[in-house]
Parts: sequence; structure tokens; C-alpha cells
Amino acid sequence: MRNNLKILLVAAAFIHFYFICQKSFREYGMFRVLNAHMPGVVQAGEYYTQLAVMQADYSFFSPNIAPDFIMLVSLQKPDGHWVAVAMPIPNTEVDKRLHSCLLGIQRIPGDLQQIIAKSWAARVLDEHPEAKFIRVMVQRKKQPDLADYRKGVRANPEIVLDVLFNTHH
Amino acid sequence: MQTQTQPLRISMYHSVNDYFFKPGTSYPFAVLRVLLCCFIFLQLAFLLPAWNYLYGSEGYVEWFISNELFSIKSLPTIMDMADVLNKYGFTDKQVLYVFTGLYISSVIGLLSGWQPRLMAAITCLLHFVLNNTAIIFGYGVETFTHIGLFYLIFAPSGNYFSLVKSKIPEPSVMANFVLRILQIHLCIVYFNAGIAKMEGIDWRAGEAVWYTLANSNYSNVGMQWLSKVPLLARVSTWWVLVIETLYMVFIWPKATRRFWLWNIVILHVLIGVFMGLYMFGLVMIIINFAAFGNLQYGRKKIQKGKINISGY
Repeated sequence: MRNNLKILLVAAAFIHFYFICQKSFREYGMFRVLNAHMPGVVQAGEYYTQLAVMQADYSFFSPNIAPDFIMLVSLQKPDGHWVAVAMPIPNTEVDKRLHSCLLGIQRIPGDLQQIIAKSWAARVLDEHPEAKFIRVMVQRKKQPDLADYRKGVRANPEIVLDVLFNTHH
Repeated sequence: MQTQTQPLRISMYHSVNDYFFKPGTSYPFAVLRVLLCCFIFLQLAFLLPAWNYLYGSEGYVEWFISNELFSIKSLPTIMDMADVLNKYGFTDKQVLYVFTGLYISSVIGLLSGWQPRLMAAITCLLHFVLNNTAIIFGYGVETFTHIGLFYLIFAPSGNYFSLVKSKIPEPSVMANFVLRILQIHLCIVYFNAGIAKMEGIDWRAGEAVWYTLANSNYSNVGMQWLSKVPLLARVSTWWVLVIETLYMVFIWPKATRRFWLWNIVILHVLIGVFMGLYMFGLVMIIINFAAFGNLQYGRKKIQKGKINISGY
């Protein structure tokens, strides 16, 4: 292989890894300093890493483990009774996707979370068109540590989202 | 007779030059191509029953919400395609089905080995558009599937397990070069994962595995008994930290590569079995195997004459 081609490949690899490391190690050392001074490069790197390697942040389950988030949906039937229903989720892999969504929306403001909840309620209404009201609730539970769990301490669920939708029936 | 020793820097130059630019077999990328395509089909089998809910205009999160709140701005989504095709009478659902058809076709093309780099580029782009449409539903599986597809754009992968005879000669400089890039990328992945975890008190205190397995979203197998064996929970937590953080050190030397590779494979098997993240565990094993497994085992095939290259 000709030397000028090798130089091109090395340069391309350097840029590729710079953009990846710029995102992965943005909180550390020289990348923290460089990113603060070069927002344009950071922006370019963001687009590149999204297209090329679909985000370059590999800090999964860190720095700490997120609490449990559980979605509970219930609806009021025409006879007035409330029943718990499940979102249409055909298998565990789809459930993992929905769980990613639950985690992801914790980072957005409450009023926007309600818009997402409305989407979920709409999907439940598709399955249960007779429903008069649909309630979407999201609970958070932080597990006690090992020592506390052995002593009998158990997680208490905390409601982080509770929205009631009128289906106008 | 006097022997001349090369200056150190020339010797180092030759070592680095050989390491990156010595022609190598494309066998690792052929394996990656086939396994990744099979993996994508497996994933589709799980996701297609809820395809409209995940990627449709009126799914768990509707397109206009996803586009506004989560999608990467200025980068394409299926909604952008629909905005164009709606004018020609296509409904949003039809656009999604057409897009899905294109995606599946590109994966079939890639699996067949016909123009693998072109097929990888098309699949990679369509995979991105699909996931940018519903990015809130993505997790590590999408990331590493995309990484595998990205490197297949540059590495030759059609010389083995292909329905069509490849025109790319073997051995190939690009095959070796891209393999080194993939290996370095994996080192960055695990190092980032390791040091990010070390910042958290859950990991340093040895409680992270407990919290993860006690989490109802991840506990595939009832693991509350782990609270009675705290040493096991702590050791397994610190084991994850060591395996990930020191991956970039110990995956390279011949003496430690096999041990470290097996440890990372075991880690991903345990993630699949105990956390229910089967697909994530599987794609990580595929990529690790392609990056480092063939170096380890491919030599035996060369020695047996199954792969005919020189100087590998």
C-alpha cells in the first residue's frame, strides 16, 4: 500500500477515535478542557458519532444503578369499575425497549412526560375503546442496600407520574 | 561477520507499520457479516410483532413527539420520508412498511455477500434512520449492531460464506487495518464503561450487581437470596469493574487474551441470563469474537491450510 494512502488512513482513524473519545471521555482530563473551548468540534463530533457509531457514550449502568421504574395503567369501564390493564407488549425484548423509554423520559420535564403518557393512554384506548377514563402511573423504587435488605427493609414505591385521561365517552 | 542493528525508531516504525498495514485475512469480517445479519433477523423476529408500536407514526411514542423531543436534529427519520411520500398518496403505515422492506432487503443482500460493502453502507444508513425515528426505545443493542455494520462498510467481508464470488484479493491490507480499528474501538468501549462505573458509589461499594439483579425490570431470575451472600455480590461487582477497565490492557498479550476474552464472554452470557438482556449479550459476544476470537483461533485454520495467506 502506498505511503500516502497509509497516511490518509491513519489520519482518518485519528479523527474517528478523537470524535469517539471526545464523547466517551468528555468528563475527563484533556477532553473536558478541549470540549469547553471547541463547541463547533463537539457539535461535528456529535453528528459524526451518531451517524457512524450511534452515539459514543458507553457508560451503561453508571455511575450508579438507576432505580426501578414501573408503569401501571388502569382504566374505568362503562360500568364504573376500574381495572388494571397492560400496555400491548408482545415479548420481553419489546418490554426492554419500553423500559428504555421509561428511563429516558426521566430526563425531560414533567409536562412533556405527560405528553408521552398521553401517547401510552392512546395505545391502551386502541385496545380498549370502551374505556371512559385511563390512568397512567409511573412508580420509582430504589432498592435498599444488601445490609438493609437483610434486616428486612424493603423498597417503597414513589409515584413520579400520575395522569388521568378522559376519553370523552 | 558484523550485524547491523536498526535504529530503534526504524524498528518501531516497521513494527507499527506491520501491525496496521500487513495484509491479513478477511475471515473475521466474513464471520462478523454473517453473524450480525443473523442477529438482525433474530431481533426482527422479536420486534416485528410490535413494529408499529415502536416505529409507527401512532406508536408508544408518536412520531411528532419523538421527532421534537428525542430524535437527533437535522438527521433523517422515517417521518421525513413520510412527509415526502404522503404527497403521493402513501399513508404513514405504508411508508413504514416500505422502509422496513428496504431494510430487510439490505440485510439479505449483506448476508448473501453480494457487494458487501455497499450493502453494509445501505443497511447502516437505514438502521440509523430507523433508530433515529424512535431513539427513546434504543439501548446498547442498537449501538453495537450499528458499530458492526459501520466497520463492515470498510472491511472486505465477501471472500467467505458468500453466495457471490468476491473480487477483492486476499490477503487484504484493509482487512487487517479495519480489524485493528475495531479492536481499538472495543478497548475504548470497555475502558469508558469501566471508569464511568468506578465513579459511582454503588460500584465501588460492591453493591451494583445486587441493585441491578434486585431491580424488577432486570431480574430475570429471582436473586433476592444474594442479600444473604453479600461477599458474592461484592466480588461479582468488582469482577465486572476489573474485567471492563483492564480489558484494554490484557486483551492484547497472547498470554492473557484467551482468559480475558472468555471472561468478557461469560460477563455477557450472565447479562443475558440474569438480566434478560439476551440480545445485548449476544451482539457483544459476536463483536468480541470477530475482533479478538479469530486472531486467537484463526491461526490454527491457517496452519491447517484452510486459509491460504502469506505472512499472517
